[in-house]
Amino acid sequence: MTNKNSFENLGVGIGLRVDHYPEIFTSKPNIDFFEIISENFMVDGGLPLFNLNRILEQYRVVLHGVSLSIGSSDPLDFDYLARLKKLTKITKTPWFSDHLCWSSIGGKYSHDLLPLPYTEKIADYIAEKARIVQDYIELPFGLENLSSYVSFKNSEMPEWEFYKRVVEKADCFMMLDVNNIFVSSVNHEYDPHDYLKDLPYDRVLQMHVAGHTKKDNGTLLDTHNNYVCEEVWELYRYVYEKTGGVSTLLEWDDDFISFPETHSEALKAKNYQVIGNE
Amino acid sequence: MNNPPKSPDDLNKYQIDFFSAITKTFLFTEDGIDYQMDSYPIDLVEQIIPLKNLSGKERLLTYNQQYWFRLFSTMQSEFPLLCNLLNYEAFNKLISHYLDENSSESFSLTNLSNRLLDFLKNSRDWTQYPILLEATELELIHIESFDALQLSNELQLVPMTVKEIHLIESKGLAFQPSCTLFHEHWNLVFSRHQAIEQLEEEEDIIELEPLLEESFWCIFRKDNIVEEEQISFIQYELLSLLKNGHSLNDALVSIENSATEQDLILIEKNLSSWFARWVSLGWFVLPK
Repeated sequence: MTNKNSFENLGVGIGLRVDHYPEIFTSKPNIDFFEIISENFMVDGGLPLFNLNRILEQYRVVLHGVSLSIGSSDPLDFDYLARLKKLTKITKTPWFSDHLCWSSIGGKYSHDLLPLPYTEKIADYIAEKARIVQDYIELPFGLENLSSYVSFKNSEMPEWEFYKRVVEKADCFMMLDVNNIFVSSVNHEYDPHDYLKDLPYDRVLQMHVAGHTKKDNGTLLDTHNNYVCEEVWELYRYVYEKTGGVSTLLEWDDDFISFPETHSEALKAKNYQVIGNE
Repeated sequence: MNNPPKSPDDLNKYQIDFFSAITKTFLFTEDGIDYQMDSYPIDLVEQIIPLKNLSGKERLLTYNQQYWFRLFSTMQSEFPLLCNLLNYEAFNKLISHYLDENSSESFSLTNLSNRLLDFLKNSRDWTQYPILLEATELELIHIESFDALQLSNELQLVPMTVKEIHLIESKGLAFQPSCTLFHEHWNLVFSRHQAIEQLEEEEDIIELEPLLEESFWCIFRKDNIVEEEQISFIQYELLSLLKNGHSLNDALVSIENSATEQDLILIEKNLSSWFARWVSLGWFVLPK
């Protein structure tokens, strides 16, 4: 299948989690690809790398990070990047991704994906860092849009313009999470289709789908512990067609269901993969 | 390389304020958790757009809750025994106190507990509970064993070659990094298994009461599972000396000086079979 960029469409994958290992190692299910959380394997040895090597014998793997903290006012951490680069060689990942956010400041880590005010200066600062990261790792770099729970008065543009500005200035790519678009659209009271109207779809290298949770106060949380809702699948259908078809990944990180059920939830994506004649 | 990108002036202050808000500790009261929203930095709160049903502070609270609930949950899964012995609320209070003073400095959550034992040992509140310190030590050994490197030059066979025997006799044995000796005064290894079982079977948590029972263990990783092997006091003494870099000859001489006659007979009779067992469990690597 050809899409609007030159990235291979790996099919429909699942986020690899420790809870899945027994099923994967015993029944060796037929999965198009796995996505791993890079930081869990940026270690010198021990069980994580042992298990990763067993996965690599059988499956294609792509890397997805959570701690690059590219939006932090701290400088880039080249020790982190060196470890990440080593992991890209081990896994032979075709690309790597992380979030358009910050998670650490002054060398202290929040282990969360934190939001930014959407200003031109911040966009340009992050774009410069993203360009350096992509050059250093020597692979296509996808930035993922965030689920967020606050928005700022000093933002100068909506999130989608900020996102577009960063990836275009950095000449990097989008890891587009349609669940995050939906979650943020509810939390910030905008129409998710406004988000999708003018994105540079030729820069989308992979997509994420996931489930979320509604708090009592109405806030949607990006919890990855639930089935993908119909509204998110419909956004997925729209984006998939716009991109010409890209690799798709289901994230399920908590309140696990059985591995076959997780796989079958991921495969629902195929029902929404319609490529029109353009 | 060119000059590193310069951060916009106001970004750093925003991030310091945001970090300070989301790491604000909770007050655990008899009526439940009291969130300290009024102590969020005012400059930050004023920048947040309120919604019809949610103030800026209430929106920020979501991040404050996520920060602590994630860290509580990570620590609860790494310290099932300590959590059982304290109960969830007291455990969360301890973790909130510990992490308030020891924010994570690593991109990985696995390093979150690195300073927990030192924190407990340096606090008068906790040193009066040696069982809790010992339980923490045991659970940290498990975490370290899980993540430890596996060296490839593992000692595989007994009997060994003459060269290997000479090396061991003269230079001592090195241990796999995943292999740690543990001396307990309560039956904590057993209790830890019970605590994990309760969690896995999702039973109602019954607070365990470990028995005062001294024993010795080697905790190690074999076939990529962390296991415990109970050892005798004399075996613990011998292995401790080897672990501290003594050659086998020196270790035996040192033990002879302090052991009873009965111990010496036991050592002479069983030394080969002990080593055969330990080698089969993959505890040793050849000295360089």
